[in-house]
Amino acid sequence: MVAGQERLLTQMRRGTLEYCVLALLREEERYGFDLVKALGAGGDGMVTSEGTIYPLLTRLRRDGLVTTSWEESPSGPPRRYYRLTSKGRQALAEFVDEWQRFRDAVDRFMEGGQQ
Amino acid sequence: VIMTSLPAVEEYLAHLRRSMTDLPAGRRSEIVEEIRQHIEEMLAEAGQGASDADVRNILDRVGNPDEIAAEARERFGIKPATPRWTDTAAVPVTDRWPSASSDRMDRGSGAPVGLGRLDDPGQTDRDLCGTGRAPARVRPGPPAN
Repeated sequence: MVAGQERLLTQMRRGTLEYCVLALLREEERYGFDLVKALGAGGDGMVTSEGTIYPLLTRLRRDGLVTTSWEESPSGPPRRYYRLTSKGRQALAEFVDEWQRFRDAVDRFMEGGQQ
Repeated sequence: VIMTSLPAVEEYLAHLRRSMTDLPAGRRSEIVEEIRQHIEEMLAEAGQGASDADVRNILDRVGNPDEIAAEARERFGIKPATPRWTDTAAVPVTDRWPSASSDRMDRGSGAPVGLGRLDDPGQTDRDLCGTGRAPARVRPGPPAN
């Protein structure tokens, strides 16, 4: 891999991670451990260290994009569940719009370059 | 089932807490508690017979506490507060603590090395910059003025 490419990929992953989290919460509420599993830690996943998701979750909560509630767990202490707020839903919708436009623009060049 | 009395886990969480001392207390404890919970979930999955190696493996997966702290700083837009001795060396010693007594400096209550008044601060600064090392021994200065 060309020097700098690894860093770029890390930055892209990091920048889009919060919207992947919001997208995972679109249909259902989830607790942290569940979110990390869904994001597929390690390998080709979105996070390399599982713990790094929590600063992001804390920030999303402070920003009012998600809200949390404690719920009993069948095995162990209560879990903090994250749920999308209407502000979070709106932020996600706006990102999806922008992302599709961005992805299409990049794809046009990538596909053009192969011809 | 409470399993976080495991020394390795407590040590890990203490390290994490220390790494984030420059973060607002509320956010710090929220992150630490969430990560504690995360570790407990992993331990529960591993089952009762989790060996020391299993626990180490789990903590490795959670990640280096310093990296988690760095991530938190970035996510919250907080500049890292890691004072380096060179920051101090660049400040004229006598201006920084005009009334500091040698007695206070000797105790070194968290004050960085090199705060003592030196006969030739200029010379010392050059030495520090040249070698990139702190001087082996810093003489405590006399009470300033």
